[in-house]
Amino acid sequence: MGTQIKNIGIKISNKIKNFRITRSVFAYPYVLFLMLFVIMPLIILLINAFMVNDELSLKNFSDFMTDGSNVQTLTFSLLIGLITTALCILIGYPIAYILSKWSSGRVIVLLFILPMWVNFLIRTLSTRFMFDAIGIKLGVETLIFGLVYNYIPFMILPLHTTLSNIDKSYTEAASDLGANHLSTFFKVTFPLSIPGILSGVTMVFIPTISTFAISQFLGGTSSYLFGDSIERKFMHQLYGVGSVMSIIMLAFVLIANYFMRKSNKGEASRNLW
Amino acid sequence: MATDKIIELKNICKSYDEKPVVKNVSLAIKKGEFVTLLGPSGCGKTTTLRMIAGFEKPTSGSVFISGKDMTTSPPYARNVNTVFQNYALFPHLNVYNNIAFGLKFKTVSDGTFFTDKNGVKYQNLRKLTKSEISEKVKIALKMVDLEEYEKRNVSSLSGGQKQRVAIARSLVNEPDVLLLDEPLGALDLKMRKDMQLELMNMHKTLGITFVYVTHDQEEALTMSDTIVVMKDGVIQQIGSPQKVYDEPANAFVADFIGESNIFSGIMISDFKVEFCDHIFECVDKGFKHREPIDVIIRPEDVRICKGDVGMLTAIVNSCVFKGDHFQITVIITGGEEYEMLIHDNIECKAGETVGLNILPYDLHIMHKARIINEIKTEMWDENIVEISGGKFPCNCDFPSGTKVIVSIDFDDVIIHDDENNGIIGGEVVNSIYKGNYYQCFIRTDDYYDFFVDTEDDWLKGDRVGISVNPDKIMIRKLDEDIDGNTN
Repeated sequence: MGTQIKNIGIKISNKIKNFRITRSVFAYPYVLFLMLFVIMPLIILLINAFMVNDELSLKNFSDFMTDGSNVQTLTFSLLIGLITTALCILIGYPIAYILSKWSSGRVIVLLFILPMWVNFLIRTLSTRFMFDAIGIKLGVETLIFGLVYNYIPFMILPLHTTLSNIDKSYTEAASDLGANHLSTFFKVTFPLSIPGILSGVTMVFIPTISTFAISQFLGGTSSYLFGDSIERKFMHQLYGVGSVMSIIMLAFVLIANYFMRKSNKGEASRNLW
Repeated sequence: MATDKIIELKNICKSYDEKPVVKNVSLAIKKGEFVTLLGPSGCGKTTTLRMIAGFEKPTSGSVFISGKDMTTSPPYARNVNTVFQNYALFPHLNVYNNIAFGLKFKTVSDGTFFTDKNGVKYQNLRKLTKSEISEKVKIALKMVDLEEYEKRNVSSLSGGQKQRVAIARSLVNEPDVLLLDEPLGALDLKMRKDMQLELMNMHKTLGITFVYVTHDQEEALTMSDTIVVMKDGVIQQIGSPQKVYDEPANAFVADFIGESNIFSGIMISDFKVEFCDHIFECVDKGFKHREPIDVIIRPEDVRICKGDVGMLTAIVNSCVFKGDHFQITVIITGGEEYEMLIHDNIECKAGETVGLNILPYDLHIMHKARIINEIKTEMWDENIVEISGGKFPCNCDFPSGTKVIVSIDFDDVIIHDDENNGIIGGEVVNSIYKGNYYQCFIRTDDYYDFFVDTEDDWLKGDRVGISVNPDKIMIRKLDEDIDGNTN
């Protein structure tokens, strides 16, 4: 007995002696965090979605599919996401373009990101009070306004980075070869800024389809996004269907990401900021 | 006459944030000429080229292209094309579309005419058709030997191929003038030599005017009809390669183009010059009596004869075989010691005593740019004078605020390695070896160039400190009537 304990003692002391602070050691806390807050919830989600009364089943899926209102919410969310993204490009591109031309552009970009430091709930609530004060009825329009307002910095930033990184000699060469300002923009600047647009789209479209708080504050009673729907399912303790919807959501995120990456040839990550 | 000159620059000045880059440049380029703008980096050559292309607007002065004032015209309205230093090929287009880019904007006469209300006849214009564009692109690709590369992505090309595409992209537009901004800078030596020959051939066959910017004097001498030597935004000399080489206008040109020996000397009388403690015959006249001058001797113009039977006696310091000649450095003796660089085909041994002969017409005599540093300024206080923002102690009791002219000899300026040890700081902009000392130009922060004679070679671009012994500062009151020469 005594020797055994002694042996264990030696083993432990050896372990402690052999412990070195290598680079991988610093990754442990992050790995732990990842396990606890990303991997575990995903597993729970899968269990919730596919286990009904301790058996493997697709009942939750069929429940989701047969309820017409769910599919309707999904298409509505995708539509809202598309409109928001389109508006963000339409408004954000000219701003990013003008800012990239100015030498003081970086400072002004900062002004555009500044509201991001205010908690988005506070921002959204204030927007709602503003609408109430002016007397605008909440609905799809106010919802889209809120979404664009919240997500436009995510469009401007990657666009501004891409546009200001375009070598000046390209536009000079175009001009030298006979292109006026308009042709230079459409034939050179715009094509070269597409990676920026794509990373902007990834940063706007995916978060919009999954958002829920903004629609609750600004959407009125009629407009109701997929994110809200999921939230409500969980509130009513319908974990099964809620999980299924979350998985569908996740699938959309992955699909969108895949297409972005494919059309961008892996440049998105480089051009994000 | 106007048609003869394809480009004319008239008193062009350009400043960035008050800092002058190009100073009063006037230049006429004849049709079909191969002109090279040559100078060290930062001399304003690229800026000058960019003003011809239209990327920069001159601060003052005007640019004429084919006799028309194009000073404010945008680049796309000028019939000149540029080959950029970094090629600037559009990364989103393939080789074919890069070359076709300019052609898509081009218009040609469609053979019909249009007469307006005033009876002026105009040609009706149309765009080039697809097949015309394709044909032109094919010819351009053939010209640069890249026929098979139409569909290639530009990022997959080598440096030399990118260069060819860039040249084809410019030439396909049939410009009046082709501007080339250090186009061969990024290529390796072998490729550069090949491209030099190809460019010269293209120039010959196409008859287009070439304006070429480079800092490589060898490239300029090989390729050009005319060389424009620039320094600090000022044209130093315009001339044929032979002329610039054989008769440099000043010490800078001589030092920059080819190797040369530069000595300070004095003109004794017409046809007689003294330097290296000897008197030589020369072919120059018309200088003032005992005027200080610079003498420039090309290394290949000095002849060595064994034994001390030459005009000068020297001891060989080193002798290196260079293929077609020996590069020999000698120390001239008999008085102060001066170093001289010689190219000759006689092999010498280090330590050997030799005689040197120089023919009168191989001595190039030049006025000195400046014989003393002279600055117009005012007294800060009694015994303190302000120079370039620094307070220099001096022996002069003029009251504060007196306008004065300060003179300081070249060898009285003291250079400090650490900027903080000097009274003012400055940047070394040039350093020329003059046989047994260096002449450095130190530029202060308010753009006054101090000429300094020093024993040491200071590195160009370094920051140094400047101070002057109070006894060596000569001050005289500025007479308002006399227009003092300050710069």
